Amino acid sequence: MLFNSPDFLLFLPIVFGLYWFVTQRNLKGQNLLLLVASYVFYGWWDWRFLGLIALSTIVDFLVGIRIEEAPDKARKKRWLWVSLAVNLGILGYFKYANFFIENWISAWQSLGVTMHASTLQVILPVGISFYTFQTLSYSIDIYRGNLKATRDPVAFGAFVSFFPQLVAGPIERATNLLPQITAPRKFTYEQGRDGMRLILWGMFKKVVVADSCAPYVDMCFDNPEAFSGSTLILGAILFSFQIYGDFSGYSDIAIGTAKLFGFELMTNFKFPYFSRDIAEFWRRWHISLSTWFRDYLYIPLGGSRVSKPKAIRNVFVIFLVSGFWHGANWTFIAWGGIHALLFIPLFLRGTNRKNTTSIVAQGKWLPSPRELLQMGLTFTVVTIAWVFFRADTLPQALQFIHTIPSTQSQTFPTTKLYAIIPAVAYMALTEFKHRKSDTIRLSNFTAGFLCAIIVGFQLEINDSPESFIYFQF
Amino acid sequence: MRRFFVQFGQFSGAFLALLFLLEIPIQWNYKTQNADMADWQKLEGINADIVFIGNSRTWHSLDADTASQKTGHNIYALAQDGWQVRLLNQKLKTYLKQNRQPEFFFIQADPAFLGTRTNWYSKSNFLKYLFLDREGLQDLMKAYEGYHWWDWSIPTIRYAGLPGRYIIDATGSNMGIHRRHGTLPESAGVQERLPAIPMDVWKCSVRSTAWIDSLKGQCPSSKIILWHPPISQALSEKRDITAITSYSIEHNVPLFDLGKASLADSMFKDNTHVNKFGSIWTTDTVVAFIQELNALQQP
Repeated sequence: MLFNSPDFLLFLPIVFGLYWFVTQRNLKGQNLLLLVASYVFYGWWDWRFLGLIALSTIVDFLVGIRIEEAPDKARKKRWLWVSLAVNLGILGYFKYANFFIENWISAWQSLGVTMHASTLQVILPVGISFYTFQTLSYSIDIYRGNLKATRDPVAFGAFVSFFPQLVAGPIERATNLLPQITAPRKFTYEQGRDGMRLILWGMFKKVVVADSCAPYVDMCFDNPEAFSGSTLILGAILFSFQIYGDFSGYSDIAIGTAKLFGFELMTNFKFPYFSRDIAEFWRRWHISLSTWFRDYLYIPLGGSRVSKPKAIRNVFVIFLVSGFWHGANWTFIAWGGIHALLFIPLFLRGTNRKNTTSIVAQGKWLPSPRELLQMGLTFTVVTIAWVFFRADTLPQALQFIHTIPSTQSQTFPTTKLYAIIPAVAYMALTEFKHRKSDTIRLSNFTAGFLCAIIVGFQLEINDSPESFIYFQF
Repeated sequence: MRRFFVQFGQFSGAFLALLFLLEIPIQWNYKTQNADMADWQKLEGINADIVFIGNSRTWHSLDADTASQKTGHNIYALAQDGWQVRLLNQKLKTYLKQNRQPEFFFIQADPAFLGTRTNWYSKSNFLKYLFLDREGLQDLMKAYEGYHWWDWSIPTIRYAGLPGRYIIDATGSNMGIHRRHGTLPESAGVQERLPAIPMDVWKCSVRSTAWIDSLKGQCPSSKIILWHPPISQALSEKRDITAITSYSIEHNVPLFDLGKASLADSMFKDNTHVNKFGSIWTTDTVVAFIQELNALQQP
């Protein structure tokens, strides 16, 4: 079920009503309702894949208890391997099987050996990378002694499948979400109001910004050689805003929806395009994933507290794996590699943690020229990397970049730019205004204005509603 | 909780009110301004001697007004662009409730009309006609891709994904349909050699002939004639209407086949629709055929 579909418009009030008016005095009932609602939400897309979530849930529920009860480290480790094997096995089969088969064949063919193997007809289940990582973190946290295993299967099931963030995050840690699920919830006006406003802001970013940018971006990437350099540059820039509007919009709606049910999810985006270097960008972009990789991959590998060559290796590993997490395609690996290459110089100079405490234009209305330059530079390199992320193949990405300087005319197709550019500018200005906090606060007037803009774009600007980009991951 | 609901109620009430406000000009225009639209909904009192049923191919090919004048019979084209037999079958029921059965009933017999593929037409094809729905056509529409329950349940929302369309309907732009006796097709313009209906082959399945039985069954006292409007030469190379010809022979129903006429490309708007010149030729051919039928009918 899409957040931007009328199905969800009907689904949400029904679940909300049942949750607060029918099951409000019964925690188990509330959790059971969340579990059922989450399975309905997911099954709306394809009920056949509910079995995968159920399998992952059952395995990690049982493994969690086994790890906790195991008398020694070796047995705990053995049970952890079971969780890793099942979750990564599911992910590997459904997401990466074809990629490995194809590359295996290509590798042999490049050596002159002809192989005849057919790829598998595998449908990629929506959100598989998100919920497998969420359940994995649960088992790992128990193994590390950071978390007690739950004995409540319904609560655990609700944690794994919690519908607001099930298909595109934020990837919640059990240490944050599970205690909220096992504790009684109370509705507060402030939380409900903030939730509704976040949903509205997320809808604005998705419907008005991302969906209106999509046709222009698709046009550029489908046939780059047909357009001038200026058109392609704008296409790449608009993709930066499209993916931000799409993904952070989803996160805002997820966090807002969770608030309506009395939950606080982690912040997933902190205005990343106001970053002054690539390290700051990664502290602000898809925070739930980058901290996941930091805690469960980078630090176990030794992090930065190893020799310089090993530390550099660790940086590369985390960025390449992060890229590969997004999809079984060399384009994502290249995207991760580019970010690693951008990050390494800061890391070697020891400046990667320079902008951890301050924000851009701290205590001022506007950023300084130096900050503007830094932001512009960071945005430029991030946008170039996005070209690889968006392209279907590596040659297509290279062709896109190669075409930019090779065409002379500086023209822009007029495709709805009159609406797209003000929408993007409004989003950027509003977020810049709120850069000091983690969230957006909207007045009633602004909320009404946003509603009118969303309706206007749905009626007169956008074609058919677009699915969220991150569903495919 | 109470405060939240009061505020949310006020906000969503205002929002719904906005949607209803946006709906007002649409409703007003459809009901009062657009006479053609209203005419399509008014089927009573037609009592045609000859009825042609079909989709845009019938609608484009036959100038029913001219044919009526030339033959002296009341000829009516119960035809609709963007519709297939599933929907016209329902429309025919309504027609027959308000009119007598025609003497001759021409059924468009080709894959474009008898096929029931659900992805040929988008919502924009149906929107204008279903708006003042009186025949429960919305239920039939559910089979088509792009149909959503909210299109008719939430005011204004049906225009989502059809940029520009709200403005057209809200300002009452004319749809340019002469509905009473079909339409005068557009004048010959630039030859767009684009297939109007994406078909790899022009083939009718045996299963689709069941629709002929359904249409025929509604007019038991009418003389049934299957007719195939012209198609371009490019498309006629892909034509396979064996199922139709077999049906015609087995059920002793005449087939008036203009699909095998090799008309020049200059008579087509696209591969499946004739232009003004093609329409004049088709109408004259139909008139001649009807006059021939009359001659046969005379004792």
